[in-house]
Amino acid sequence: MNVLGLHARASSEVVRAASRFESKVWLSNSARQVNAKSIMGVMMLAATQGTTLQLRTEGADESEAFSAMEEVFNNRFGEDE
Amino acid sequence: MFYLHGAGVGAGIAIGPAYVIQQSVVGAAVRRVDSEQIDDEIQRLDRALLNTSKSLEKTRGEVPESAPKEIAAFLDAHILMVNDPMLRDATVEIIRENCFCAESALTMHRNQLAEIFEEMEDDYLRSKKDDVDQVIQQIHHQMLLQDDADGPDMDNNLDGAILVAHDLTPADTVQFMKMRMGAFVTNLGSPISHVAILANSLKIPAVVGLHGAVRHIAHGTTIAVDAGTGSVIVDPDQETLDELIARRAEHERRHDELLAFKDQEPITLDRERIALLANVELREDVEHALHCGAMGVGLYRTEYLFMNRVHLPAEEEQFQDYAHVVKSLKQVTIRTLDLGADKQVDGGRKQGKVAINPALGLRAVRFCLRSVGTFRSQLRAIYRASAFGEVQCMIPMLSNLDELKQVLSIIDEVKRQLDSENVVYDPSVKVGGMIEVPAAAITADQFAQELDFLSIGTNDLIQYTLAIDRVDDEVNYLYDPLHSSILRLVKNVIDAGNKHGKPVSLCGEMASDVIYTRLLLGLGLRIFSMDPGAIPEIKQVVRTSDAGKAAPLVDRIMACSDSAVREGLLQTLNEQGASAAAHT
Repeated sequence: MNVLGLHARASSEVVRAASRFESKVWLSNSARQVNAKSIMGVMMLAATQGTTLQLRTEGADESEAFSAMEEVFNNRFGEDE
Repeated sequence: MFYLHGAGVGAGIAIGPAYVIQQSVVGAAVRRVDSEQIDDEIQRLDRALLNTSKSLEKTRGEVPESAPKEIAAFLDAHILMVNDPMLRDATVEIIRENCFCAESALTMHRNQLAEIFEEMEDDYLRSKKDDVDQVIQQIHHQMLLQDDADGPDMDNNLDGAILVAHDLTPADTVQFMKMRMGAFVTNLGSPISHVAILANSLKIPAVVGLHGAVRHIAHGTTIAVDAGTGSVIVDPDQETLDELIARRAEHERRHDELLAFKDQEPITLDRERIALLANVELREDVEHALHCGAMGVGLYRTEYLFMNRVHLPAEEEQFQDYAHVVKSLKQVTIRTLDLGADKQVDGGRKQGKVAINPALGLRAVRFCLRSVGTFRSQLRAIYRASAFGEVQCMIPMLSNLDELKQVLSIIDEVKRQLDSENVVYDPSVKVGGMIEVPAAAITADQFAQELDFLSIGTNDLIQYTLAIDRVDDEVNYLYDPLHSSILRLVKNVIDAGNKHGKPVSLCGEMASDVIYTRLLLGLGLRIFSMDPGAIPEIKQVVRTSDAGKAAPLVDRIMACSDSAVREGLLQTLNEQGASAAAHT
């Protein structure tokens, strides 16, 4: 998980990536599950550095969606810090 | 047609459609609709969401390259919020379940979200609640526009529109900066509040301190703002409109005429050379300063770089901005961070512990000595910029010599650090201070010995000395630059500077007002720093003034305890040169 946790710029990246796909994309932590296409949802996940999130995709393009989302997280959202 | 009155800021006349910023309708009462109207309400909601998104996207497209990156990021997040499926779905569900109208459903959803955000432990994320509020407010605003079928389509063309609001924070004005508004009109504010200073910097007129009258102005109505008289004319009739247009043209013509003299030297009739410098806030101000004939920058307010963003600007970003200004204007006095009071950093919003009276609290140099890391970065950036021109470093809000000594020792450390890194800078950078706290003005001779130069900040000096809150328009009437205490303090600082051979400048609003120019010359002031737009007119007064002859009358004004008599004497002083002017 990147340095700043899931902050606004990072959240925007996540949502934009997820919204490209037809499939449903879910992100969850221990407390809740949210639709990764919803910026409010992703922000409410309030993930801070070090949290483990689970990613789930479901639908016609679920594998592309999954890899794309993985890439977004792995690239640390392009944050400067 | 009717008139509203407040305090005029800046100069000139603007005419345009009113762009009213509604306050949050969070507290509005709930309105229900019949079940047959539910689908209509959902349609209204969808239309509003679409239009809000379009409007935000348009603004996003207009954010200039030079703006802080955070502005674009913050707009992007808002665009995503408006298009968030959850926002729409949740609101639609509320409409259906409760038979609420779209606005009420939106408010209820906003309240639900607010609760969730409040629970969050992370300060930053909790502050996102404000973003949610802003977005919801914009959607509400769209709905209002939609209902007003006859209203002009404002969001597609803000050029020349007149911003009407209850109040504008400095951060708001930066946000609206690129929208080419024609003028500002606010309920709150005073001629020396930051909104006013920014209106000056944007070269547009404003009328502030309308005390609630703003509610009489309907969105889209044509209004005229006359900064000279402090009036707002709502829905002017043709005759009045013609007169205003003529006066506006006259004002512009006169301003252009004065600009034609920009290369003339500001010398008084008794051959005293006066320095007329510019106050700048943003790097974009540089062109305007050059255009108006500024000889340099007497005050570079660095706070704007720190506002309306989440993360404090790093040294490199600051360096780029400072270097740009120094390269363009050659002689620049950079003031270190003066945050606090009515200029809060948005990203540093604190929940809870807000100082009761920020003007007297931890701000400016005090804040910097507490956040030494931030202070050092800024000093490094300032010193690095000194490689490109003549830079002076100025410390705001000095009140005692111990803090000055601390500052000087930090500056020494910074210089040694730069030396060890082989970074180029000008070792002869002068370090001066703003004399704005009465304690410093009274003991100016002590400060004059330790500083390379002094700059009188009359805005705050008047506030502190007369005990009036700069942004409280209830006590604005007490703001009196002619008060004997102020004149004595100004003279004291100038005398202290002269005694110790240190230059003294004045950078408050008093410097930009023609009615005080001769008075200040008579007090011995030779360096004025002001909003660039005021330079041509001040120069004209300087060229028609005899500083030596002004001194005796100035002494009489200083000795006078009756405010009416003082004003009369000032008028006499200002008319003194009238016959001389006729000969130039």
